[in-house]
Parts: sequence; C-alpha cells; structure tokens
Amino acid sequence: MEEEHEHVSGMAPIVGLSFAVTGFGLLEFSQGNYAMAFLLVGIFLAVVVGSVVKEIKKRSETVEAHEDEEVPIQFKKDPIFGFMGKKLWIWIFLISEVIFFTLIIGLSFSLRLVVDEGLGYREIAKFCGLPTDSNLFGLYPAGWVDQEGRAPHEVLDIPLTTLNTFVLITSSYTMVKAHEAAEKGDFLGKWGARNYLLMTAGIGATFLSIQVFEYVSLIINENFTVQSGLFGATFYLQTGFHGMHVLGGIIMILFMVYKIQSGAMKDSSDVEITGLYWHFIDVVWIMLFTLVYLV
Amino acid sequence: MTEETHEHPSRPYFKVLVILAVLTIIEVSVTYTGISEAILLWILLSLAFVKANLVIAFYMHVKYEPKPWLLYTIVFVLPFALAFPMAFFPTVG
Repeated sequence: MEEEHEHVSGMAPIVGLSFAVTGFGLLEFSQGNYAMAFLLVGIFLAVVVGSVVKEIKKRSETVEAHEDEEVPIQFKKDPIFGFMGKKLWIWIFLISEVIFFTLIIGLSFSLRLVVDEGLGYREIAKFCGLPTDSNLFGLYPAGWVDQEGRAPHEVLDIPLTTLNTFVLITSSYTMVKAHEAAEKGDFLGKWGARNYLLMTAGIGATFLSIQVFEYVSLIINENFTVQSGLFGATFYLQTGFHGMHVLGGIIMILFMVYKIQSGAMKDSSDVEITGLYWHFIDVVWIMLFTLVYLV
Repeated sequence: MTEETHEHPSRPYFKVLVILAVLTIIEVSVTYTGISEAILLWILLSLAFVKANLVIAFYMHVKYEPKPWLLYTIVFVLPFALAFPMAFFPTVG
C-alpha cells in the first residue's frame, strides 16, 4: 500500500491548468500580442512535455518495481479522477479533441448563422458581434447554398448518411463489447476481444467506404466540391476531419488486434483507451450528422 | 490481477444501442414534417445532445468512473466552454 502512494500522479490538475493558460495565450494571439501569446503557449508546452517525461520516468520505475508482482499500472489510483496511466492520458488527449472539434464545428455553424437568412437567428449573430451578410466574402449565390443555389437537403443524400449513422453507432456497440470481453480476460474466444475488435474495424471501414462513395458521388454527380461556397468548404472540412479520425481509429484497433494476436496484451487497458477514442469519434459524428446534414 | 478484474454484468449496452437507433430515426423523421427550420434546429440539437451524452455516459463509461461529474466537467464541459466563444465571438477577449 505504501508503494501505491509513491506512484500517485499529481500531474492532472497542473496539465489542466496549463490548458487554461494556453487559452489565454490564444486570446493574446488574436489581439496581436504575439510575445505574450508565445510566452503563455510556451508555458503550456513546457508543462505538457515536462509532465509526459516525468510520467514516463515514473512509469518505467513502477514497471521495474512491480515486475515480480505483475500489478498493472492502471490500477494505481489518481487522487483527482481515481485512475491514472494510459487512461489519464487518453482523457487529456480527448480534451484537446473536444477543443478541436468545437472550434471547427462552431466556426462552421457561426458562418451559417451569418449567411443563412432562412434559418433565422441573425439576432444571435448580431449579438455575438458577427456580421450579418448573406453574401459574405462576395460569394454568389448568397445564403447557405452551393454555387448552383442548392440548400443542404437538396445536395446531400440524407438516407445514405442515416444508414452510415447506424453503421457507426453499431461499431460503438461492438467496441464496448470488445472492452467488456477484455475485462473478463477473454481475448481469443469466439466472442472475445479480438473478434469484436475485428468487427469494429470492419464496421468502421464500412463507414469510411460509404463516406468515400458519398464524396465521389457528390463531386462527380452533383458537382459539389470544397469550392462550393461556404457550405461546400465547411462540409468537407468537418466531415473530412471526422473521416480522418475514423481512419486513425481503425489503425489503432488493428494494432490492438495485432497486440492480442502476438500475445503482448496483458490486460484490458489498451482496449479501453482505444474504445474511449472510438466512442468519442462517434459523439462527434452524432453532432455532425445533426448540424451538417439534418438542420 | 484476478482480484482486480471488473465484473459488471448488467451494463445496458444493447439497450443504449436501441435507444440511439430510435432517436436517430426520430431525428430524421422530424426533418420531413415541415416544421420551420428555426424550431427544427432546437429539436434536433436536443436529440443530438441526448444521444451524445448516452454514448459518453455508457459507452465511454463516464457514469461508472469514480468521479463521473468531475471527469465530465473537465473533459467535455470546460474545453467546450473555452473553445465555443472563440468560434462564435470574433471579438472575444
């Protein structure tokens, strides 16, 4: 028990605070105070790099100390969240992902409030200090339409994307089943973690294939490209970044399958953190499906 | 490790999948009812919010963590609250 206290990680709140510091850094940057901005972002980077190095050092020491006992590191408790190790780091990574997707989805939607008279809410745009100009940047035709004046529901294939949404939420289900199996120690069985992970990767690949098919048919049949006004640009920005994240997730999952197959998987923590990332991508898609396709 | 193995037999993963599917069907159906876009936006956003939080609570098992609300606030609420004004308020700060 004494040893457990030695390995308690106090880095979480410090890293969290440094995120706030970098937020102020970005504000300074937007106001042109570059020196202050670089200083604040520098503090953030120093804290993150420092804590990563510290954590790696601590973990390698812990692993050495516990080699005989085989006590996995993730069962040590962090005073803030109640867990640590890889799981703490994937949550910190997800914080950066929340910021990233909030920014690109928020930016796209704020642009829509600016140009889309049909949606209303020009008052909100005015309140935010945004311009209210249907013809922002001199794009023609005005409004939330492509170069031929078509609104989202006239261009996008909603039934196909609805099918794709079912595909992605199903993959979240198989992923959570993989984690469940891994926690029970069932890696190679018929309903074990490996098979569920393979299913998840397969369903994820199906999602991507449908998305590629959608892109190709939009570009070739509908002449809807990244240059089709603000609507086209933000559509490909949001769905493209999401698709790349799905691809990254599939690579992670296949790596986990390899790890299980080669016998290197000792506990469920790797499956768990892969799952957390995968489910987060699902959460992002739920928001995208609503804001990009349905509204 | 054996004594640390987690046993939680009754987690409603399949139920959540069914609810997510039903909510998706409702979402898509609502868009065909001809409700004005301004109202539709709030209905769809509410449904999406419920769906996203179901995934976070059950599939990301935040609900089952030792400190669910703290984790939810630090990972989702605070970063969102930090980034959202930057996307919507050009003169923020």
